Amino acid sequence: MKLQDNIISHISQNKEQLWQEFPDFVVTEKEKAFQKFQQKGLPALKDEKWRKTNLKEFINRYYHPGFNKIFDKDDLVDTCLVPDLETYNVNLINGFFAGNSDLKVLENGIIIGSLQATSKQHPGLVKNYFNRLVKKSVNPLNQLNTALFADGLFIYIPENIKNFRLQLTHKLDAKVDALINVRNLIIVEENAEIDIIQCDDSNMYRSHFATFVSEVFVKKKAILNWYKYQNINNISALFSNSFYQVEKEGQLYTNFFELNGKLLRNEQFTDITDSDVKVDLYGLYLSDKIQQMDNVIFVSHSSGSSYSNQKFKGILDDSAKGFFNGQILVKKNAQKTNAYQKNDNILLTDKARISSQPFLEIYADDVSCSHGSTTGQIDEEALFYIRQRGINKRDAQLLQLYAFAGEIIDAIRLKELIDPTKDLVKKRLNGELDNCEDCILQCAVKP
Amino acid sequence: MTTKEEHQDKVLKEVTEQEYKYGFQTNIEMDMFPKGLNEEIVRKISEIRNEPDWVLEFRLKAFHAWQKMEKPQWAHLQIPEIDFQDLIYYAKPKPKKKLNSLDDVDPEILEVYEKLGIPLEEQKALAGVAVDAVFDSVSVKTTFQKELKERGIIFCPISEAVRDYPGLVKEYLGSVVPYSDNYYAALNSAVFTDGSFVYIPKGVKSPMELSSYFRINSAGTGQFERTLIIVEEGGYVSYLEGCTAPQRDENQLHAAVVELIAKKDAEIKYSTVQNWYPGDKEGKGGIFNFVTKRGICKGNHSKISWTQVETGSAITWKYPSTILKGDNAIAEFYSVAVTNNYQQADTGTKMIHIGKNTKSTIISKGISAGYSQNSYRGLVDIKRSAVNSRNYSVCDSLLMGNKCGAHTFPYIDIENHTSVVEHEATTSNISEEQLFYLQQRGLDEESAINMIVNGYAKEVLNQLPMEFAVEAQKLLEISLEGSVG
Repeated sequence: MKLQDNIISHISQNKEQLWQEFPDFVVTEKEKAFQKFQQKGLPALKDEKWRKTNLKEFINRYYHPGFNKIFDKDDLVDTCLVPDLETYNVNLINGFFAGNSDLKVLENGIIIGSLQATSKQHPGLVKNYFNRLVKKSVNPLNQLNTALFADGLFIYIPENIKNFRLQLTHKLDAKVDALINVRNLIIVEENAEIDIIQCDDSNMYRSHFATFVSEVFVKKKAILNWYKYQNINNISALFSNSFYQVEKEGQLYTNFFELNGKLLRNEQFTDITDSDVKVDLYGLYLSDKIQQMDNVIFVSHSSGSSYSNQKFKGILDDSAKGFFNGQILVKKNAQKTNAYQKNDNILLTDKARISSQPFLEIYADDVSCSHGSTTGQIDEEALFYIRQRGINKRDAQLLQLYAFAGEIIDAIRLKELIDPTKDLVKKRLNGELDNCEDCILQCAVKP
Repeated sequence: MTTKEEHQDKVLKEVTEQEYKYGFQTNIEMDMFPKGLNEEIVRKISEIRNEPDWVLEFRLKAFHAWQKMEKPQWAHLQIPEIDFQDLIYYAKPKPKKKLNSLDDVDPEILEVYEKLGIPLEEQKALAGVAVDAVFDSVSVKTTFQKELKERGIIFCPISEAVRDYPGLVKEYLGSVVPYSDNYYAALNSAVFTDGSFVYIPKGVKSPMELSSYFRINSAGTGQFERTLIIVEEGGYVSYLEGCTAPQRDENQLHAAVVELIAKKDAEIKYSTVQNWYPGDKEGKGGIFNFVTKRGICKGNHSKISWTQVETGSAITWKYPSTILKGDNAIAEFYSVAVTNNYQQADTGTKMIHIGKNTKSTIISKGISAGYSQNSYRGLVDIKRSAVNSRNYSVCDSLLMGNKCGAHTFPYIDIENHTSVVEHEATTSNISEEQLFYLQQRGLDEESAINMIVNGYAKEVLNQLPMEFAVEAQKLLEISLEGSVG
């Protein structure tokens, strides 16, 4: 448990220095989280949700824990642009907000910038929301994140502001093997709307152990659409944990593409607090070699007459591993809930393995809930059909896999993203994405 | 409140207030050990039963393993703290005289079976079922021995088997459920007092359904049954297990272990109707049913089929499982679990595919009413060697009323790319449309609901042998008739 000891001694020794940039209310939370982390330690195989995910190779490694801003602020390039799509661009490098200034207030009242800077300049705003959703989490990585994060992204979208598109490039780019903790806070006020397009990226040569924790508040009638493309190197682990609270008539839509990485784990916790909420969570994971990709999804219906839908698909090649744990919780008073969940997998080799756990926990009787899980292989008959048409075996297989993934791609609502995503998935299935050193969306459009 | 709702409430109330129909107790002299569990008690149990050394050794190993184990906490259950030192681990009816024929059986015991509607004579005469009557811990009467013996079938209490067929028992006892398997299995291995032993020789198909009737009687005693069924190549047996217990206020613990072994081309059909005392409508009392049941399809083309109707017990923790080791083996699990009042159930199955072309089917129907919690928990584990294996699972839940819960926790682990695994589940209540349709045809509300519930559970009830199907249907009706969600 080298990593754990390392973290604990690092925080114990450098507490004051590490936390000095934060106001008291943040420090209090950090202290509490640190205590919890000390008690619980890093996740182990004996923990129910971690039985299929072995962190051994990471926790016995040395990671540099105390990371500082080491890049030149002005040395930023907006590399990750989607063609024909205008976006506001933000870069996070090793968890630090990179921009001309740490914090910006746009003309329409949108506040965007460093969480650390915001917590000092708008303490009232941050205090209302910070750590409200994360503190209850039983996943010790979230406590680690709270205790150790140095910065992250803050976004505030005021009432009635629509058509705001944000492109977020999150790059892991350490010069030594490093522990990186990023904390984000996103508040979408009443009747506002935001699209986030995120790329998780890394350099090619260093192992990163990164947590990326986001707290998201979607207020009444507000809408959040979040697209994420994850493509990190084959020696890094990235844990992205998102916590959403969605209020009356709010809408949450996420579509996450796990494309490359030694270990990618997306945990999403959604609390539906009121009626007429619509939540759609999509995910596609494409893994090969000895990669592992996990999705842990929890949707809690605290109030009735709302809708949620989870759809996750995976293709696993070589010795890849996958873990899907989806849970729908319908509380006692959440009558007239419609909640659905589906997980489909294709295994391509006899060394690939998938563990799928679609859970339902229901305490209300007038509900419509279902879940399904399938695992299979390429359909031989369909393959034969395609090959009869003169297409070679490899292409025929790719065609089928591509069609399987198509359902998740088709769920993309932002039409400018569809073509680049299609391209990405094709390249990934072809095994070409490994060579992409630029931001992933750039690779998609390159010939 | 509309009149309809009032009526529904009334019906619901009537049903939930229904007392346990099979609650009565018999007073028979009992041989009892003092409360508590320690090495001495384990030795004493073994001694009083004249067991050979290897059995005692097995018990002691299990006991030491148990001492180091922790109670499983992962189930969706709220289990009150059980004081294992406050239980009596051995109770045996005092034999009044040697038993030669049915007439010699204690009339009080016979009466119990009569109250339950299955007197031994009747069964013997009419149903053609051999009964290994388990009254508390020691089998009192075994019938049909002779007929079975002619075919070479062994059906006897496990205590006799230990004595008469030590080779067989030694080879297989603990081979499917090792003593260290889990907390309750370890406890059972240490203190098991009786249960059935079945051996079907090569090529023999049991001419009748074998049945064991379980009862818990003496207040405060736990019952630790141990059942071992071995079917040799090409053999077949259908085994029925049914239980009902008298009404008690104190919680009683039932931790049984069942082991099934199916050799090449063999088939075992194991059916259970479980109706232990569920506690009263305030959730007071009731049996804790913590059972480990597991079978192994050892040979190629073997088959194990579990069917269970679970209506009783305050808490049920039970996962009849099958290891599909032989190629082309088949396993089935059919379950109806009903919970009412404050009952809790966490039940399901495990299908572990090891052999090639193995197939498993899981059909689980949960029905929850009152304040109860009903969970399905199942594992489908396809190992790398299980080429071309298949699993199909359906887990449906029916909710009656808005104070109960229905949960589904499937675990699907797949390591083979040639296998196909499908799982689906739904949760719903009885739809207004269905009710309306049936009532339009002149059925009153209760009969309509009955019909819907029976239809919902039919897929499973159809799998039961005739003798059980009737009882099961009755139990469903008792537990639920009239409940409206």
